[in-house]
This record gives sequence, structure tokens and C-alpha cells, in this order.
Amino acid sequence: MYTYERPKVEYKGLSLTIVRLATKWGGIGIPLALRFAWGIFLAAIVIVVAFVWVVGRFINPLLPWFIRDLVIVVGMLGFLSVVAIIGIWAERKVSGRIQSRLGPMRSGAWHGWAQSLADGLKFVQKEDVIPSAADQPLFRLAPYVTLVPAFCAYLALPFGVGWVFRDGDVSLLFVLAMLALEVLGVIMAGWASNSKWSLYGAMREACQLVSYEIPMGLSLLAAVLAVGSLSLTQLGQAQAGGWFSWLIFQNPFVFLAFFTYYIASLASCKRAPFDLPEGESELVAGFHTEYSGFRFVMFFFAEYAGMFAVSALATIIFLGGWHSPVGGPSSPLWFVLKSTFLVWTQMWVRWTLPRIRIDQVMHACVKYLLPLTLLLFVGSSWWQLMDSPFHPVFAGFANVLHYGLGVVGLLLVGLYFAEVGYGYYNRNRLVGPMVRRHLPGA
Amino acid sequence: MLEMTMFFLFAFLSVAAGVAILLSTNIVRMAFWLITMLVAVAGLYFLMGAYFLGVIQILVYVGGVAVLLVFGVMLTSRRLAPTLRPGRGEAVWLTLVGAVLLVGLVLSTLQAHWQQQVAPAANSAADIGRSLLGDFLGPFELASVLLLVAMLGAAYLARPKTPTQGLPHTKGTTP
Repeated sequence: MYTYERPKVEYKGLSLTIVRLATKWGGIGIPLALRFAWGIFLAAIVIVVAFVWVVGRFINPLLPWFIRDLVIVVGMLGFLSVVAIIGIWAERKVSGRIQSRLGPMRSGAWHGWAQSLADGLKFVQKEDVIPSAADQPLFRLAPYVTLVPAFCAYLALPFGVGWVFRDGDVSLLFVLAMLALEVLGVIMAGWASNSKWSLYGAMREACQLVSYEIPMGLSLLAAVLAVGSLSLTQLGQAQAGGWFSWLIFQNPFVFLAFFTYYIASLASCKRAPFDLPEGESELVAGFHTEYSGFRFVMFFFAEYAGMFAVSALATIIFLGGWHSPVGGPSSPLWFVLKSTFLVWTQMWVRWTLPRIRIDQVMHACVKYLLPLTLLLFVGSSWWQLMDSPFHPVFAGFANVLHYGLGVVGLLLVGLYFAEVGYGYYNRNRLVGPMVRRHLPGA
Repeated sequence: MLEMTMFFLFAFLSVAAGVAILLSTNIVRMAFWLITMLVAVAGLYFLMGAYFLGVIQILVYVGGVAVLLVFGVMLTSRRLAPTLRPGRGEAVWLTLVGAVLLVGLVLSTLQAHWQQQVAPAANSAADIGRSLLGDFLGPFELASVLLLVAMLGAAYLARPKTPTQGLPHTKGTTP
């Protein structure tokens, strides 16, 4: 009988060697560090506190605050890198599973978890190519102009009560402004590359972003009207108390505004079906065609940071922020969980829907999304006027509708989980496992 | 001290970017210098504590107007980077107008009686909204009418020059 022997593949290259060494020594080092984790953690806290006390007492009283800010900024950068690294790996796994493939499996021990790290190492070793016809200073500047605003958006995002770097009256607008600044880097990159593919990508990005910014802002405003504050902390705190007090179920206009916001945010993150600026099948790689090495990585980081930022905005404004759906204690973990779910939905949409044409993108915005969000905005403000003790009949109706919308939301979530369960139960009927079962040696 | 440093940083950046707009000959570079200047001015607003104004400056001017400007430049210029140089006659006129404007600004700055007191700042969005829809409702509505006229004008200018039946991408341009 024929037995299938798995061919032995020798992996070569510095990056894979480094990853293999890291996983090998990490396998010894990480459990050791975990065993003494609490000790290390407490010792670090004691050392930092002692250092800050000495500095504040004897050197400069303002310096501890500066050090605190520095530590938070560095931590935030770390969080952003983790989001991007896990996001890129997850995107490939999700795309693989949706297309009935396995996705990355080799780097690292478990399901190719180190794939992004290996890629990062590879990119660092790449030559930093700058085309001779490119506009040098702008070409070099563009990745920073894309990444830095995406990072700045996180400075005003609250992860929970008190879990925010700088809390302000207008933090919602600040986050939106920073996300709008990100466009600039993309346009700069596309223009400075001096390549027609890049320029097409940049022009698509410019017209798409400027159009979709308006429905995005207006649908957020429809929800903001119900609270009457532009501070993200207050918006989140206004939704304490479980599922039915989330802003999305407040009235039907806000319920629809969540979906219009979600569509517009897909466009603002250049995610499919609106990923025309990148357009791999038509524009090579769109605005970052000419970029290589670490500059290319920075565009990727900015994209994943932006994805998480818009999902975080949706979480804070519509989905109850850091409050748990069942009314338990609120925690930043809930916030991260809900935002991650929205990021996963973005990936799901990307690998499900085909890309639409640029004229369809503009028609969808100007003819349908923009009038709809204007209507939602007016409707939401009208609802705020009517839903008052002066109109008892309407207030009763609004209350009934509010709970009805909550039940609709519950049904949607239930449907999602039912479908997930159905898919898991019938996973062997998918094409991939069916093919794999008939392979020799299976 | 820190505030002073930040002020001079932003002020220097905005002035330098403004001069750079004038000195550069590449129109897209000019647009990016303009954006630098707008961001620096937004930084000055932040420094003054007018957070709403600063954020709106970035959101509207940088994220909207400047992006549209760059877009328009990229769309209309035949070559990727047209160089702009004023002619000799233009230079004389521009110098004259610029000099008059500069003298006027400097004189009005020197002549004005600056009040050394803290004005009640309309910091929060609520204050600004109340004054826009209260004391300044007339100018606000006039501005919106002006913008509407500008939008109609732009639509008129951008209309297809040949008469078409139906949408151009569905039926073609035959009359």
C-alpha cells in the first residue's frame, strides 16, 4: 500500500531562524517569567514608584507627571503594535478559514501565531527602495503622516472610566479629526511615488474619504444627540446598566445610524468593499505600490490601528462602551472584547463581499447614504423633542419601541451564535475538510 | 515656560510654512505646506484652550478643504508637477497688494487698544452652538446661503457640456 511521506522541508533565511530561536528559547523563558510573574510585576512597580518619588521630591516636581505620560504613551504604542500584529495574523487566518484553507500554520508552534513577527523581521531586512523619480522628502514623510495620527486617535479613546490618556470635552471630534488626518499621508504617498498606480489609489482615497466622512460624522451625531455631550467618557457612562440602556436601542433612528456609521467607517478605513485605494487586482497595491520594507509595514500598522479605532468609537457610542451587557461591573475588557468583535466583522465583510467600482462607491454615498444619514439626524433630533414628559402618549410608545429594538438586537445576536453553532456542527461538510479527508496519508 | 516654548514652536512652524508656500514652485508641495500651516494654527488654538476650535480646524480645513484642494490640483494639472512662477507684470501687482496688506495689518495691530483681560471663552461646543443659533443666527444663516450658492455654482460649472438623456453611464451620450 502506498503511504504518503511528508516531504522534509528545510527552511532557510535569517527571519525564520530568528523566529525559531525565539520560539525555542521563549518556550523556556516565558514559563520561567510566568512563574515569577507576580514578583517581577511587583518589583517593577516598586522600582518605578521609588524612582518617581525621588525625582519628584528632589529633582523636579513636574517630572513624575511627565514620566507617567511617557509610560502611558509607550504602553499605548505597545497596545497598538499588539493590535496590528494580532490583527494581521487574524486577517490571514480568517481569510483562510472563509476560503476553506488553513491560513498560516508553520511559523511558531500554534496555528502560525508568529507569522506577523516573521513578516516584520523579513520587512526590516528588506532594502529601503525609493524610486529615483519620486518626490524624496514627501515619499519619506508619508508613512509617518499616516501612522502618527492613527496613534494620536488612541490618546483620546477611553478604555474605561479613568482608563484614558487625555479626557476632553470634545474627544469624539478629536478622534474623528485624527482619523481624517490619516488620509493626508495616503495622498502624500500616492502623489510622491510618481507612479500612475499610486496616483490612482491616492485620488480614489481622496474622493472616497472626503465623501464618507460626512455620513460617518452625521450618524455619530444622531447618537450624540441622545446624550448631549461630545466627551467619549460621558457618552460611555450614559449607557450604564446593561443591554437595554445601550444607545443603539435608544430609538429607531440611532439603531439605523449604527449601521450607516459602520458602512461609512468601512470606507474610511479603506476596507472591502471599499478598498479601492489599494485595489490589489487593478492597481498592483494602490497608494503603497512603491513602498518596501519598514515603510510598507507602517502603512499596514496604520490600517489596523484605524480599524480598531473606528470599532472602538462604535463600541463607545452605540454599544455601551465598557459596560457589560448583563449589568455586571464595567471593565476595559468588555470594551476590548466588543471592539474586537467589530474588527472581526470588518474582516468577515472583507472576505465575503466583492469590491465595488469607484462610481458605485460615490453613488452609494452621495445618493443613498448621505440623504439617509441626514434623515436620521433630523429624525433623531425630532425624537429627542417628542420623547419628553410633555407628550406622555409618545413617551410610552417610545419606551415600548426601545425595548422592542433591544429584543431585535438580542435576536440578531442569537441568530449570529446559532449560525456559528450550525457552521461548527457541520464543519466537516466544508470543501476543505472534504478534500483533506481524501488525501493520501490523512 | 513650557507654554512659551510650545507657543514659539507652533508660531515659528506656521510662519515658516507660510513663507514656504510662497517660495515653493511646485503646486502640490504648496498644498502640503498649507496643510502644515493649518495644523500649526490648530496647535495654537489648543494652546489657548480652545479645544473645539482646534479640533474643528483640523477636521474641516485639513481633513476636508485641504484634501479637496490636493485632489483638485492632482485632477486638473496635466503633468504631475507643474511649476508655478509669476510673470513680471504679475510680480509688480502682487508686491503692491502685498505691501498694502502688510502695512494695513501692522498698523491696525499697533493702533488697536488691546484689553489685557481674560475674555469669557466660549470653550465648550454647547456655548458655541448657543451663540450660533442665538445671537449670531443672522450671519450664520447668511453663511449657509452663501455656501449653498457656491455649491449650486460648482454643480453648474461641473455639469456635462453636451446634453444627455438619462445618466451617462447607463444610456450613453447620444441625444
